[in-house]
Amino acid sequence: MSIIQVEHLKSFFKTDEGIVKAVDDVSFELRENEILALVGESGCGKSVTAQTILGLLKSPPAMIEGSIKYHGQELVGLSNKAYHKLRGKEIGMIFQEPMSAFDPLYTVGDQAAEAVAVHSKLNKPEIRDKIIAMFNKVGIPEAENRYDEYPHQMSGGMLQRMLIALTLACDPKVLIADEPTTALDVTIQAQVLNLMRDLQNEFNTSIIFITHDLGVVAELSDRIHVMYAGKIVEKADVVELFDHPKHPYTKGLLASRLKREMKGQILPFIKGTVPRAFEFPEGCRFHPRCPHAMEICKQKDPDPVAFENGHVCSCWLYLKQNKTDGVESQ
Amino acid sequence: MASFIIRRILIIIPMMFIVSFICFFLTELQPGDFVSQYLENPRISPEQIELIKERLGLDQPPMTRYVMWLKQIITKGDFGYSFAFKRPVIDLIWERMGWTISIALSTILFQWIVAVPLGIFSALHPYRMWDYILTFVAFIGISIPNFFFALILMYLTNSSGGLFSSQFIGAPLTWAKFYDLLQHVWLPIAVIGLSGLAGLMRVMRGNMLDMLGAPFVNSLRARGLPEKQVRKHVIKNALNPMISIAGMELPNIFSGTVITAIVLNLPTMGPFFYTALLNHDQYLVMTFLMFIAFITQIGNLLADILLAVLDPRIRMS
Repeated sequence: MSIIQVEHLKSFFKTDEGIVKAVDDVSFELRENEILALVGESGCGKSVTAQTILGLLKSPPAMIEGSIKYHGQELVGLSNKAYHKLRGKEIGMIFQEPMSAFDPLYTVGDQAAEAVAVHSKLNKPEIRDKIIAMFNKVGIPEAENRYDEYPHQMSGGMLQRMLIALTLACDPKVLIADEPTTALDVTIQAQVLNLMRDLQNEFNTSIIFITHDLGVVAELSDRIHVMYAGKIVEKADVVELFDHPKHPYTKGLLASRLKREMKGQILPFIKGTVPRAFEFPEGCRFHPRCPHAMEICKQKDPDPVAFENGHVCSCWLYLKQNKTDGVESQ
Repeated sequence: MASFIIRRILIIIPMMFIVSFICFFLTELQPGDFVSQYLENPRISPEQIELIKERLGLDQPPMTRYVMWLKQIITKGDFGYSFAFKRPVIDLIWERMGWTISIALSTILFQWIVAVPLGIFSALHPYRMWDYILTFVAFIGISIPNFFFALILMYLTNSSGGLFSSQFIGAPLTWAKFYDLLQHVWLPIAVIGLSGLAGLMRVMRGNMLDMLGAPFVNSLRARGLPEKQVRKHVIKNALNPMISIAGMELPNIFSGTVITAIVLNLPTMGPFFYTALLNHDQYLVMTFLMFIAFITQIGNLLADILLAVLDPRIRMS
């Protein structure tokens, strides 16, 4: 059963420098009870995808096309008013920078209570109890006292837990986590990841987990979608992707992970940088950086190719192989 | 919080000493002194001038006079004697303080009541027709000199300035007199308020736009808060930086509107200060400057306290 069905989603922005195709023809589904990871370098359109789903992009300048279905309900073109009923209550979101996700002038408790009050019929003391219980659940020590403190009095890890608690206190069916551990230091990262996995098991929330960190993904997610320059280039189960990466970009990403044996060597990396969003190259957008780039890659965008186990990859290497029999798989 | 306020109040004392020193030597740097005006008067002989100098204490070296002045202030609360009015300067300033402060405060109130809502409106509909119109009007407001605007309004309303019609000057306070005051007082408030109002509106608009783009606003929306509630958060955050501006505004209105006050014929301290400056009425000038500095300090103190009340980050550090 899919909860969210995204089809041919496009989020373009009109800017003075041209049209930014931040998300260009992206399709995927989020299934019940799964953690789906969207992986890619900064600027590849992961966050824009998330914000598009929640209707957080201001239009204009954003131009959104395609379809996003939540339990069959079309979200593209939904009125702001209808979105208010959805945000927080059905789809919750947590952000990369917990420090800047809170209004600095209100206590964390007040902010959590404000959000819960919008979505539930509980009275004030009940809301307070619910939030403190949730604070306890996410491992905030002295939750009772912390309730009345201000964001600037907390550490980043603490605030991220609170943001998770606040979001889950509204009982969303779907949680979108936009790089929730990127701004935290490593020990706290692990705690937050474990927490998210535990909470997912407990509340049966489906999660879209956005990150650029493949290590994080390996630990947490069920399926992985790799994004590059506004497109999804590869989709696979987590084990499948790590064992049999297909797309040259995915291979590059996996090769760039640090290992102990690399000490003293030049670290592997993908040559070049992500192109700027208003000057994406023609054809396959990865071709200028791709070690296997062919003539066709510069001209036409490859269509997705399906492999076994739901593995999908958009790359001419495989399309060619399908067309002309006998070319050796590399 | 209490220690914060006490610390802020205590800081005023050394500040005022420094200010008194600067005030004294600034006025001292002015070429000539009170008796200079008699030098070209053929009816006053050089001997008489020396006599006047001696009587006023102007023959003493500056440092001695400064120490004496300071001593009188601290021990007796005596800020000196106006050469021109032959009365204690503190009395002269007190007489004008009431009108000065009430006009200044009403002006600030007027500015805020108009500027803040317009700034918010402008920011919520940016780059639309009304935003452009308000921006245009605001720039006119900033560009027109106050005194010139005063002249235009006086011409249009056929007013001769002042705060009362002639029959009410010196009359006891009655409802009729109060009504007459209301008919006059809007003019200086509108004139003095206009330029600051335009600036405030632009600042408020800028703050609002900054805050609307702040990451926490996205987070608030993602929690499903209705736009009205999100707006409340944004406005509160945008308003805070304005408070420090308000603290600085009081002295600005006192000292920045001298010419306007002369044009409008207002019984405030501005025109009075201007005359004192021309007359080399040293103690009056110094005390006036001290007074402005003191008001600045008080204004900042109040702004800081208010800011601390509203912003937990300041309150707790």
